[in-house]
Amino acid sequence: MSEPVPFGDDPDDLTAIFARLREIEIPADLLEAVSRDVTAALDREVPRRHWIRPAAAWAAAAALAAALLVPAALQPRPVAPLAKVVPQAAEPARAGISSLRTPGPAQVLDLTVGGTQVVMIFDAELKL
Amino acid sequence: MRDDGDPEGLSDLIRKAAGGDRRAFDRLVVVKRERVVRTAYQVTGDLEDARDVAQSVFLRLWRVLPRFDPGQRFDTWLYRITVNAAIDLLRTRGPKGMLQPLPEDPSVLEAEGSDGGLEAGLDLRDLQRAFSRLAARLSPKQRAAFVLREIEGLETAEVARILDVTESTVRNHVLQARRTLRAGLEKDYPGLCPPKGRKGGA
Repeated sequence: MSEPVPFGDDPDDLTAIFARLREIEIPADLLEAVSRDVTAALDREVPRRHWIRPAAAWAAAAALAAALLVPAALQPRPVAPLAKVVPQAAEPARAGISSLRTPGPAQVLDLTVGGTQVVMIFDAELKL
Repeated sequence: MRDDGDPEGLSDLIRKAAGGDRRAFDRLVVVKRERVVRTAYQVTGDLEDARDVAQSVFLRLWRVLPRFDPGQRFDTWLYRITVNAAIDLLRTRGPKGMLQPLPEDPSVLEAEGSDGGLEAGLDLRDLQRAFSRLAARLSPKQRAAFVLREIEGLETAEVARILDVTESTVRNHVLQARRTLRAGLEKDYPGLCPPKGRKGGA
């Protein structure tokens, strides 16, 4: 600090008397209050050195999340695989007529067309 | 309080505080708080405002201290932060018509006057009241320039660096402030004016 200029640079100036105000002492309790205010305010703050670190950590985390999520979000959604259609087992086409031998005189005819089966029993001696 | 030079290892305190040392910073606050409060008080004209300004100055100092260039004058830097904060406050709330005087505690405001000079019998409280009332008529910049130049006793070049203006602008602000204050002194406080033919000075 430069040496104070005594009573201004023009001692004839009436306002030079205000230079004496530099002798005023500020009340000690007010100065103590300033220190208390500052200490309290700094205590409420995150310490300066740890102030940047969490911020940087958050930024890094956000960048990582963005790197992972944004491309994923922008990527065309994969088409869900269609449910596999299991072809129904084709019913073996059945069509035909067969005659089944029986121990008796009766004869059995098995007539099948597709899913329909008709069994006919023929007995010449049978009297209905 | 004058702490010119480096009696308490100011450079060391600044370096440690800039590195995050809270104890060093607290000490730095103790060393500089009176000057900050006094300057803020003379610019704002209100002790409570000065306290608020001082708090904001030191909080800001804590944050920006790591960027302080040791090649700069620390006090110039601190004055700049203080005056800017005080001017901002003045512009925000506008001037107060009557500045708040310091508490009337003779032990605090007792004029020394031991040299038998012109102001030997002048009560600092009266002088402060007069300045408080008259300075309300100045613009914030005029007031800041006058306080730094005439009350804090800084050189014009340093005031210019603090206010970030040219030296001729500082001289102009101080000239305008003197005119306003002189007119007020002669009209309202003739008792504070030195008798004709006497020169003030140390």
